[in-house]
Amino acid sequence: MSTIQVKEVSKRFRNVQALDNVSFEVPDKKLFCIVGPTNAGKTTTLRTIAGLEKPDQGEVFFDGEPMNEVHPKDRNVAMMFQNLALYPDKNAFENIATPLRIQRVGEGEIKKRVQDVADILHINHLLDRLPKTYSGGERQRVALGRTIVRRPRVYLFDEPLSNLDAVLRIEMRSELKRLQRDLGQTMIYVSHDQVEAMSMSDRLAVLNEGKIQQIDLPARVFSGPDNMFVAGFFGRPPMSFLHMAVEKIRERTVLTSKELKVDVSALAKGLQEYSSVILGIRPQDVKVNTPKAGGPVFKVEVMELLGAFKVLSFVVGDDILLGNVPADARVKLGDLMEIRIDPSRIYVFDEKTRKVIV
Amino acid sequence: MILRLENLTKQFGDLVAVKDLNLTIEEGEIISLLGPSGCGKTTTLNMIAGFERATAGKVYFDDRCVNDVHPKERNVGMVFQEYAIFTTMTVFQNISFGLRVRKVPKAEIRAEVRRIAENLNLEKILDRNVANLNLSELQRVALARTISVKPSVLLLDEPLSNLDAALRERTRVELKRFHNKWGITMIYVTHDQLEAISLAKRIAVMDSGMLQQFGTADEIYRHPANLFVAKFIGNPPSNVVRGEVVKKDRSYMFKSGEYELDISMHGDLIKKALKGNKLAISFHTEDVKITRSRNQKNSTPVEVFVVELLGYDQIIDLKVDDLIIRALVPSSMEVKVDERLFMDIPVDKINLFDLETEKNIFLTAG
Repeated sequence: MSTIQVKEVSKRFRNVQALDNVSFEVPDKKLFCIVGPTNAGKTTTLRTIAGLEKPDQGEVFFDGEPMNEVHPKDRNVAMMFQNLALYPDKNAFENIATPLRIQRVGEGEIKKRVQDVADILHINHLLDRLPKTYSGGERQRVALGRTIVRRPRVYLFDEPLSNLDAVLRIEMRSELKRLQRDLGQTMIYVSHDQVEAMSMSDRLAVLNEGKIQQIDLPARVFSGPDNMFVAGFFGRPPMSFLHMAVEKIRERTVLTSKELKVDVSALAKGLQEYSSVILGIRPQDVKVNTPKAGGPVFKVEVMELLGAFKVLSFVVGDDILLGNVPADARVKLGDLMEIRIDPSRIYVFDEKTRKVIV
Repeated sequence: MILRLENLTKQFGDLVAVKDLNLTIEEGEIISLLGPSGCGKTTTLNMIAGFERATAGKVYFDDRCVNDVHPKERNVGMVFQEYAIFTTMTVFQNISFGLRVRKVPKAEIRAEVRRIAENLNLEKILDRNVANLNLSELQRVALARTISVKPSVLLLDEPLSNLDAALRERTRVELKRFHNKWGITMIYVTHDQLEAISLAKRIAVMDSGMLQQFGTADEIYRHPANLFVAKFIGNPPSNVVRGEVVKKDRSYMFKSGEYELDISMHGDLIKKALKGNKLAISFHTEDVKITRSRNQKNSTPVEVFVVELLGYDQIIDLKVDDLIIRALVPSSMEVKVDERLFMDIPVDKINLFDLETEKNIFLTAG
């Protein structure tokens, strides 16, 4: 078994704080994603686990055993990167066998293990062919084979799919997930792609500017984000954020801006100490209609077709509000549309801390 | 400017990179060239820009054939994945560079740069050094630099693919706004269909150097011209099942291994347009209905193989014997791996392909 624990790890490169007190635990046999934008500290985290970076503070544990003083090659991890280099003059069999040859595994055992890997990845037809004849997906599979042919304690994947075409990426995504399940091995997977992270992982850590933002189940980071960063990172098109004042109107508690009013009496308890907040709402939850009910209207500034729906952009005060309508809805740029925001679908954030209030 | 490609072909040794490509792009139109890597998109752009000479065929700018016109004289603007900017200059200096080289008067330069910057949302950072910009801003500076010299056509080769997901979307919206206001003829090359759909009214799908289909997003989505397009389009890509037609009494059954689907409602079409009996069907993932109990008498029992959460929706891989069918359903539906469910495929929404020609028989039948 392999439970990986990262405890209070910090790492500085000259004047950049790459990791700031990062802690998380990867349960045995699970696929754990570390997700965040460029420069969030994802790769540094992975390299620290592999032993390629030494933390300034904090410690990494494998099954409770401290790893800081253990040499990378003795940690028994297998890493796969975005830029996968196959040996161009070796066929798939030899490419996959390389790590075993380095470990001086016997010839009979090598044959058996390469064959097992080839069966799992459906690459038997490539075993005696050279890399230049592979398609992009085949290349990826052979590289994957070379990674999994070893039996490490943990697999570390650094954006292995980001060089692939969009269609192939979707294929490989579910293939990798199946593979991890079949192998029953702990896997840590780094990605900047929120869909990849949500769709593949059993559990995930959201990282931004070296700090952990949330560690949770994939469904929870979408439906219950802890802060504005997580709320804006997951879900496409992204959640809109609107600056609103909190007002008491008669007995009701209402979020107001110049153009919009949202009755939030049901949430009033948590809002007592605030005079202004940030309202978050996902485009799918914004009701957009042709003006008729006398509600507030806004001009369609930008319209984008995204498959089954269109995304409309409206300017609300200094903020931008996105709303979805079906792809066949009759809307033109510049049209006036009526906007309604359902209070049960909103998130409310603290302006200063950017944390979720209710 | 109207851009027209006529039987455009490019060969590198034995490799045919682009073959008999015919396309007309209207004045002020933005189209997408969409396809997997190696399909000939970039070679096509290079022939339009003049960086590659066509082996055969012609490139027309309005009525003028430009095959023999030097790239510099073509007045084509290009933006690539790797942005070309001067890293020691400010944003203003970068955008104004081409105008300064052409010795445009100072006041005019200032007005022009401001106008472009406003269109690309760069007006607040004109004095910043480009070393301090994020990738989205850098790419927009590169774009601004390119359009400052008023190219008659703008070619964009995967300009957003170096950006991370969130920045990519923001920049795409900026690009779209820019095109709405500027109305320049644009070709946008991408392998990402969402990008293609959101930016362009018409999309040219390419594979293996050949044009597979040219039409609106809606046309391509509803009636993919051939099996390649069917497998490429849809998010996630559509399901394609290969099999054969078996005629039983008056009904037509589609069979693939143990899987059977009654497609009698397309009987007339099959009779008219299908040559042999080898047929493939395609259908979008969101059209697959899954239920806990048998919905209709011909519902297919399936087993849940993989569940992938996407946010509002989830992708469910369903196992039907040896087939994997992919369904896109709301995340609110609770589904567990290995669970047994029932699946219905809406027969009225499927497309049918003759496996001999790989073409959609809805389209070949007219």
